[in-house]
Amino acid sequence: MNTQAPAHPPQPIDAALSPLARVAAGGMASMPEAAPTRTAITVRGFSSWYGSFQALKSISLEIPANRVTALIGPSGCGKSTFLRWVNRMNDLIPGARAEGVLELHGMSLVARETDVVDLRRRVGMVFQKPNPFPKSIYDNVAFGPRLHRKLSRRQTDQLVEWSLTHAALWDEVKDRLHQSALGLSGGQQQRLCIARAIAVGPEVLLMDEPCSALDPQATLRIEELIRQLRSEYTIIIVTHNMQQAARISDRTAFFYEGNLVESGRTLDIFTKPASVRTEEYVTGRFG
Amino acid sequence: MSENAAVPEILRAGMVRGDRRRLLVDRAFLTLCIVSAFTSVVILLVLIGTILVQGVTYLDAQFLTGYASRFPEEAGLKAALWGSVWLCGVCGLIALPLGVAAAIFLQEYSPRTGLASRVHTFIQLNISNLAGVPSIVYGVIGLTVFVRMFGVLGNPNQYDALVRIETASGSVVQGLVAQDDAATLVLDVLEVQGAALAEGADLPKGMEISAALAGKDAAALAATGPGDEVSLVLKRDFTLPLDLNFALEPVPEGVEPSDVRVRARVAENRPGTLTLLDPLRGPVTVAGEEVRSRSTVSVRRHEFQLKNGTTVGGDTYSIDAEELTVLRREGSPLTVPLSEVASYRAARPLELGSPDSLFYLRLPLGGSVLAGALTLMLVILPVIIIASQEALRAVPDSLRQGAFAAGATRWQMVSRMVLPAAMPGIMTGAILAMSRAIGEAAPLLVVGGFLFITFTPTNVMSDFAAMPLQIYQWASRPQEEFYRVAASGILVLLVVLLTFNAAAIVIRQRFQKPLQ
Repeated sequence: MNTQAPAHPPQPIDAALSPLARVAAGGMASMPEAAPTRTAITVRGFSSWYGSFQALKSISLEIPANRVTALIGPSGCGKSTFLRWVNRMNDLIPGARAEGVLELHGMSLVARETDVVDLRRRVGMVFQKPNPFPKSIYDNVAFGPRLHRKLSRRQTDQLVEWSLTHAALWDEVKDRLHQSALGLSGGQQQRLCIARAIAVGPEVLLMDEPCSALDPQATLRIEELIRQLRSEYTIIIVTHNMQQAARISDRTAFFYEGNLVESGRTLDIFTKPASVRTEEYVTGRFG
Repeated sequence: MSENAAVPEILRAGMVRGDRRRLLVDRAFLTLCIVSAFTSVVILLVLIGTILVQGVTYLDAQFLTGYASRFPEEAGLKAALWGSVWLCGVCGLIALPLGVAAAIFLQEYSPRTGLASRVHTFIQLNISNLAGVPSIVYGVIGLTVFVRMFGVLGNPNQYDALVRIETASGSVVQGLVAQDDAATLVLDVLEVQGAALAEGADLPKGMEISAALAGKDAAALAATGPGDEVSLVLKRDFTLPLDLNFALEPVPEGVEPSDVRVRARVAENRPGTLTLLDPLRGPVTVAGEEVRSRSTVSVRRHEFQLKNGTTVGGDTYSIDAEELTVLRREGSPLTVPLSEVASYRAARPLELGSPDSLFYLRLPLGGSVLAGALTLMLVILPVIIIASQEALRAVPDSLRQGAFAAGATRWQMVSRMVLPAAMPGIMTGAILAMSRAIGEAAPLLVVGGFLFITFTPTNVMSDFAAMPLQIYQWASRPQEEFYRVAASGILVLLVVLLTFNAAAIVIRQRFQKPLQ
C-alpha cells in the first residue's frame, strides 16, 4: 500500500459494518503483488438475453480477488452487459435473463432467491457519466450507508471522512462537505461516486468506462486511485481505451459479439495474444 | 468548369429569389407575436383595473369579518372565506397524498410486460381522460357518491329531528315536534322611531311579536305583564312584523337605514309551549317554563315494538290521541292503536364524535365540507397525478441507477432520491391544482354549498359557503350595489389565490436550495 493512501477508520463502526472494516484492515495488511490470488468471481457457461437477442454466448472466466480486471471490446460486444449482471442492474431492464454459472465467492449472483439489495451492497458500481446525487457532498457519501442501517452522527462523520479520504477527495472537499455535490468538477464528481460506492463496504467495484467523460488530467487521477484501491477491492473495469487497460489492469478479457475471445494476464494479451482478432483489436486495426 | 460538373445546377444558380420577401415575412411574424403578447397583457390590465375600481368601495375590514347580509354595505365574506379555506385545506390533505402516490405507482412501479402492463396503460389512459371531464360532471358524481352515498343510508335532508326534554319535575318526554310556540307578546304600538309612518296609517294595535324576534330583550319582555310599557329595538335585518310593515313607509332615499325603535304597551304576554309526539304516551304538551333541558338528535329511522311481538319501522310517524301512523318512503302508511306500542327505538345515523367538536364524522356525508372537499378532489386529482408524473419523469435515470447500485430498495430509491428531486415540480402541480379548486363554483353548487350562511365551519361535517358561490350569488342579485360587492369578493379571491401561490413558491425554493 503506498504511503499517501489514507488511513482506515480508527474503529470498526459496528459489527454489522464488518465487511467494510474487514476490507479496510485487510487492505492495510496484505501486499497483493506478492500474495497468491484467489478467485473472487467465477463465470462458467454464462449466457444472457435481452428478449430474443443473445448478448452473451456461454462465456467462462475467472476474476481474481484484489486485482484489476479490464473488459475490452468494440461497442455492443457484451462487456457492459456482463458487468451489469454482476450487481444485477440488468433486473431493471425488462426482458433481460441469464443462464449459466455466475458466482461471487461461491454465492450464485443470478439465482432468483439472491438478495439483490445485499448483493449491491457487496458489489459497488461506478457509472460512465458521473452521477452525483443532487445533495450535499456529505449526504452523497452517507446515502448508501444510511440505506442499510441507522447511524449516529459520529459514525456517519467517520464513515464519510474515511470514504472520501480513500477516494482521494477528502483534502479537496473537507471545507465544503455541506455544499452541493453538483458544484464539483467532473473528475471530482467521479471520485465522489467512487467514495459513495466504497462507503457501503463492498468487496467488488464495477466501473463502466469511468473515465470516458473526463479530461486527461482527471482521467490520470482516477487511474491513480484505481491503482491504490486495487489492494482492497476486486475491481472490474470496462474501457474503450487500450492504453488505460494496459496501464491499470492486471488481467484483461476481450469480448467480441457476445463471445469471450480471450482472457489472461494483461501483459500477455497486449504482447502475445493468442487470437488474431485480439491482436487486431488491441493494436487498433479494428473496433 | 469540369470540376464543377458534379455540383447541381440549383446550387450554382444561388438562392436569391424572394429573399426580400422572406425577410419581410420574418419581421411581420415578430410584430404579430409582440401584438399578441401585448393584447393579453392589456386585457388582463383592463380586467384587474375594472375590478379594482368597482370593488374598492366595499373592501374594508367589515367585508372580511362580516357575514352575508341584505344590505350591501354590511355584506361580508367571512363565511365564504373560511368555507373556502376549509374546503381547500381538506381537499389538499386528501388529494395530495393520493395523487402523488398514484403518480409514483404509475411512474416508478410501472410493469412493462404482460397483462400488468396493459392494465397500467388502461389506468394511464383513464387518468388523462378524467383531466378533461367538465367539473359540473364531478359535481353530480360527488352528489351521488359522497353526499347521498347512493341513498343506502337514507337521505340526510329527510332525517327527523327527535326532541328530548327533561322537565323541572324530573320526567322525560321525547318525540317529534308537533307544535312549538315561542313566548309571544301582543303589543299596542305607541311610538315608532327610525322609520316613517305611512300617511293616514294608524299605529298597529294587537301586534303579535315572538320574544325571539325581539332579540336580547326577550328575557325582559317575558317578565312584563299586561299594561306595562316596553320599548324594543327591531334589528333592521329582521323582517318587520307584518302589521308594522304595512304601517311604515319604506326608508326614504338618502336616509341611512337604521334599527327601528318601538315603544309599546303590552296587551297580552303568552308563555310558550312545546307539544311533542311521544310514541308511548301520545301528544304531550310542555309549558316553556317547565323545560329544564332540551336536546335534539337526528333520526334515520323509527322502530316500534308492538305488544304482539312484531316490529314496525318507518321514516317518520304521526300520532293523534288514539293512533300511531308510521309513514314509509316505500310502501303504504301503517296505522296501529297507540295502546299496542310496547317500546320505541330511534335508529340514529352513523356517527363518530360529537357535532360540536373538531372531530366529527357522519354517514352519509350530506352537503358537508367533507363532501365538497372530496368532490373538489375528484376535479383536481387528475391534474395532480399528471403534473407529479411529469415531475418524476424529469428526474434523470442516472439518479435511480445510482441509488439502486448503492443497494437501495425501490421504496428507498423513491423516498430518498426521486421524490425529493421531483418535489419542486410536484409542488408546482399542486399549486395549479389548488388554484383550480379554490376557484371552482359549479361542482360545489351541485353538492350543496350554501349561498347565504352566517357561521364558519367547525368540523368537516359543517355546512359551508365558498367564495366563488358567494360571488356568484352577489353578482346575480338585482341591486346595482351588489355588483360592487361581488367585485370586492373577486379581489379577495385573487388575493387569496396569490397568497397560495406565493407560499407554494417559497416552499419550492426551500426544496430547491440544496440543489444549487
